[in-house]
Amino acid sequence: MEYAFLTWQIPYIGAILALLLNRAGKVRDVIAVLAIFGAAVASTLTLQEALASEEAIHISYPWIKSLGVTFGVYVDSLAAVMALIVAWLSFLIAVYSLKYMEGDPGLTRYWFFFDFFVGSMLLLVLADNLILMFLGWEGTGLASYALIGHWYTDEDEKCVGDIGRKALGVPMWFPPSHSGLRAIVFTRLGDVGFIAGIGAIYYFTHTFSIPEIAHMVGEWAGPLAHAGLLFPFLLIFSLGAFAKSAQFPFHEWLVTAMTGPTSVSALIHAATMVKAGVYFLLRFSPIFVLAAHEIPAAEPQVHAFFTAVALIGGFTAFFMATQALVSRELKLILAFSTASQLGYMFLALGAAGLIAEFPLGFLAGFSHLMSHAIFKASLFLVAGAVIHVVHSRFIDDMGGLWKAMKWSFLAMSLAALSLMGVPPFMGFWTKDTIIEVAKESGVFLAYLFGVVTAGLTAFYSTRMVIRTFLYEMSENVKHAEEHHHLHEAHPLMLVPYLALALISLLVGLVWPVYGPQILGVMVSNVLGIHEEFHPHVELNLGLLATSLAMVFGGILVAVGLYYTAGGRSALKSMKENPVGKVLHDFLYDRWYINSIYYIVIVGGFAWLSRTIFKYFDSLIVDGFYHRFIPWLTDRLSVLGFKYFETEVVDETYHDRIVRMFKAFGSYVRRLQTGLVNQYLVAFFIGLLVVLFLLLWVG
Amino acid sequence: MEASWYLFVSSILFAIGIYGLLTRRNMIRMLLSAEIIFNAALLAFLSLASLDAGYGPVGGAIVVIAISLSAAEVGVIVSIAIMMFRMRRALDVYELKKFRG
Amino acid sequence: MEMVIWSLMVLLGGIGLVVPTLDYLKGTKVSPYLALIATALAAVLVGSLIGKSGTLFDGTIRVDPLATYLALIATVGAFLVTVASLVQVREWSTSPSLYSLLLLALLGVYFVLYVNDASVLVAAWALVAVASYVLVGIKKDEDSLEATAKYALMGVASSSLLIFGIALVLGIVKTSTFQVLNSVPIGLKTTLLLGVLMLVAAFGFKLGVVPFHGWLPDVYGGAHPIIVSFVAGVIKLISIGAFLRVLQPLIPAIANDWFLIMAFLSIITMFYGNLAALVQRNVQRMMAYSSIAQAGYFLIAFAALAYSDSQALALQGIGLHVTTYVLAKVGIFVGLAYFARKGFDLTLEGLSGVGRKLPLSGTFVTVLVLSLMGMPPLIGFWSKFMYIFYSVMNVAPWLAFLGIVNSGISVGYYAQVIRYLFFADPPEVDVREEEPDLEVYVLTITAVLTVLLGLGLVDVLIALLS
Repeated sequence: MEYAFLTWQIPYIGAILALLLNRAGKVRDVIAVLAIFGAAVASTLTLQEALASEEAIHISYPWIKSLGVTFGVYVDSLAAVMALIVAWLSFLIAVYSLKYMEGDPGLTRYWFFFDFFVGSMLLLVLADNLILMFLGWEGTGLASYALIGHWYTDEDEKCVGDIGRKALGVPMWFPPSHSGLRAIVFTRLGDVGFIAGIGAIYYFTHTFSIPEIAHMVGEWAGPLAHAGLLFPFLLIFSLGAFAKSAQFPFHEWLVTAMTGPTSVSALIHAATMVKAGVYFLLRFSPIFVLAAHEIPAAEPQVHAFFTAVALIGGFTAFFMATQALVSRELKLILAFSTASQLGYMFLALGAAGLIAEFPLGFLAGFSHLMSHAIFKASLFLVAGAVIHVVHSRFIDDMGGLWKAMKWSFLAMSLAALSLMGVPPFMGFWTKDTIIEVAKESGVFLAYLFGVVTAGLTAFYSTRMVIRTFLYEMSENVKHAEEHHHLHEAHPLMLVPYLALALISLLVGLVWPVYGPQILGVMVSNVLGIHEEFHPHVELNLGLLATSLAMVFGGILVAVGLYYTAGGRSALKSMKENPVGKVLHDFLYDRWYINSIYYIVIVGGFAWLSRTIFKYFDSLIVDGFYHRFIPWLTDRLSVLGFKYFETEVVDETYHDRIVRMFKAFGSYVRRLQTGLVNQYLVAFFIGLLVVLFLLLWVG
Repeated sequence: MEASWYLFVSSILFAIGIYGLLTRRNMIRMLLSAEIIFNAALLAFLSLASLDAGYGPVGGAIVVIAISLSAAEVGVIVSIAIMMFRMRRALDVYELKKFRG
Repeated sequence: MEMVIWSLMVLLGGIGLVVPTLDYLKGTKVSPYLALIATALAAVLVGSLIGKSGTLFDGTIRVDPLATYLALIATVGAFLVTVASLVQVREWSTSPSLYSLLLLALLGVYFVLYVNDASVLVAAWALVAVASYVLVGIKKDEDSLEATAKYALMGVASSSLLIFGIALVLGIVKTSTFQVLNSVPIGLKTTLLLGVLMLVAAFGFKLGVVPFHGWLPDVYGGAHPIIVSFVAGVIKLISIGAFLRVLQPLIPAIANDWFLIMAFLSIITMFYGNLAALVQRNVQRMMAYSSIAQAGYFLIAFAALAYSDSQALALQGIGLHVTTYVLAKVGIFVGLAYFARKGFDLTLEGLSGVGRKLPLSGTFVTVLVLSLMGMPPLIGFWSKFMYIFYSVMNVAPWLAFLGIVNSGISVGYYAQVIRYLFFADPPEVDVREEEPDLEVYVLTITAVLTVLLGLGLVDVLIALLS
């Protein structure tokens, strides 16, 4: 029964062991990987139990009595299947890391945070109450920050972006330490919403327990709906999910998170952590739907929420795919692709809340989560191997590798086909369901985004495969070949990603037969879904035709442009064309969103605080301190004050996001002038101010 | 001579003391002003205590305690002044501007 | 119970007074060890009062579980500082006086925590105040001089306000004992408010409430870190104790105004502290501003005391947050003292990579900083978010929200410390953590407690408090 607990606890123990075994070298690494293996086994046993039992398994021990926080696990089919996927993927990636990270000077740190991450992710999935879930949530964020910035010495080759390139005056290259900070800031913003949401729910229900919250829907959704606040509440509560899963407008962090080691990118930014946001919606959307059913006033607001989710998801899918079209870094293509596919999942869940059969959309999102995790992890792992061999992150430095790296080529092609949604791969089945659900939801724009993005996805994926493996060899590759540096990846690395790619194909092949069974398991006792649902796998011919047209259209265009000589010269002239250039730069610089953020938010606040300074400074500090007080005392005595200006310290580190606060901080700092007399003045004036405030208001 | 008269005197003393504390640069002068404030407070204390027969004597006792304690505070500040004089040869509080911001 | 108090007086007072005599006149070096024994015994004695309640000495002292808990924390803090000081102050010529003052101040802290009468308050407050002025300047160098001068001058002003405030309040309640005041006689409300405000100023001065905080950055930033660890970790508790013992009983009569004052002060204090900390490069000074911000969080809890539903949670929050705060500040400043002793400059640049050279202390300092940041599952998370902020959730959610925003801002500078400690290149010096580095033991204890208490013993602590 305790397997669920073990599932998330074993990795934490592994993390501590990794720290303790700091000097043990290989032993430490193996132990860390074994811990993940243990978690994977435990998750399998947990799933077994969950399937055997009709009801969801809920075990909880009281922890903080005074607050009603318990320490427990809630294992329904959603949690069990998710935990299984997370644990096994983490294990495969851990095995890959054994070889990939060999020789890295910070291995203890790496394994510690790796295991710590896996433990936190599993805790997040299996927790039975919001506080415990939040704990896991924060843990993944912390580990992600540490791992993105793993190579904090900020060598040029570890950066993301073209060094020296600026868009709208804002630098567009990012070293690892800066990227780590961006990740934390963007996700933290979302977390504020998460906490606020938890607080609001607690306020109404006085419990943190998730199953209880599901049963007490009326207590919290009711009052919120009647006050017209349910829609904003749902958005704010889900803010953390949007940020964690890199949906617009929080998508920027995922792009620069590619500064981390590729195994980290595969684990955290493809297979697991970014899925936490989707998991959040998977866990809570049934509850939201329940609210809509039980409380009439809530229905339109919940409906609005799901529409918003679908639109944001759809837009993100499209928006990120456009950026993948022109990207020149292999991992960046995959990062954009991940955010785009996450958009699909959000689209599915949003649509789920709008269609008659909620479980259909639920399963669409959940199954795509599963299939994406598998093929995307495979793609990232291949990318890591390729980058390692050619010593460059740019696809310009690749090409023609298919001969030397046959198996990797096979793996990438299979996984890419799944990503594109070509039958009979698994990706095809899951993506198609999403598009179906999108059409049914009635949000035409979302459906349109979904369909168009399928074409874009096919294009960039094909482009990626061609430029990496098929193109002619770049100078870099030729050079490597001469020096016999071109070789296939080591089995420890190759087997995991080849296996994942093959799984994507095989599961897709048997999907028509076994698919309904698998889906049925996934939805068997999910919290909040009360209706009986019998999944089926069928194809709507009209939709099928449209999406396949998009996919093959995309493939053909890509092949045409990149594989044929005529295509390549067409490409060249497109790039030289002024309109083409503008369009290219627009997409290359990420629709200038990053630059806009820096200019508006960071710069804007700096300008704002400078203006306020001037105002405050001249009126209040200057007027009060520099004019009124001396005048006052001058009148009463012959003494004048001398004030010393403090220097405003220039901030030296590249965290511009905080500059606003630092601007305020500098202002505040000038108030500490170092003269005790002034401190005393502040003391007594402050006392008087509070007194007047009291008398005036009280 | 009712209590309110003493309270009035005490407020005047308080104001004088505050003025001195805030505007003087010499540490000893600041100390003197602080002592004036302190005594103003004590005066206020006594005058308020005198209004009630039951609590009055207790108030008086507290004042006496406070006076003796202030001796300790004065002692400390004078020692600090001496230390400053030894190190800097001046008692100008404005010289103490190393820490700011 | 009276025996316990008497024995504490004899123990701490006696050893405190005897110690300088022994060491100065007889040339011995026993003071550190005597101080260690004294604080350890004091912990035992205070521990014996756990769970007991009652008034002593004609009603001038009142024992209750919360006060005993705070006293215990204070003692633990004092003990840890003493341990660290064994290696830190060896070369100071005035070290015997340091130990003497430490013990005497601790005694004063106990009395303020248990106070029930104005006479004892005045005496104990003066004891602690004077002892702390001298402690800050005990090293007798330029920086200490500046710190102590500012501290003492402001302190005398605040002591006067204390007297004045007591005068006004006592004049209204007409008794020197601190007891609950339910309503104010007509026409005297303004006077009562004035008195309360003066007391808030006097206690807030010690706590670091804006605008009474002027001395704090200079003193915490300028005095030697080992002294600061005592002043920040132990001496600060008298303001908490005074708020609880002197002001809390008066709240029923002025509930709405009290809430207003506390909310207003907490907002400006939190923002001031957090914003100013963001631009500091000197870590000691940054921690000083962090203390100011923490004072703001305490004020939120004090504000919650105005409403009877939130009182229990607020008191628990205060008790827990004191734990977080004392453990963290004692630990961090001892850690800084350690780094200074090993030759590092206490600025962000100076501490680059120190965590990689001195891994244990670096890690533990990081844990403590995370606790102050409010990272789960450390105790800082529980005390700040789950107790203090939640205590005002029902009555004034906007205040809790501002608290959360401030916690967010504070990440900005706390993260910097961690980043420079670990994610930066260390200098090319050969330093290591060695056996006799007692500060590391102190850091270990504070960090381990921070983690353990956060992990599961929160309920244990609550039981102790109530």
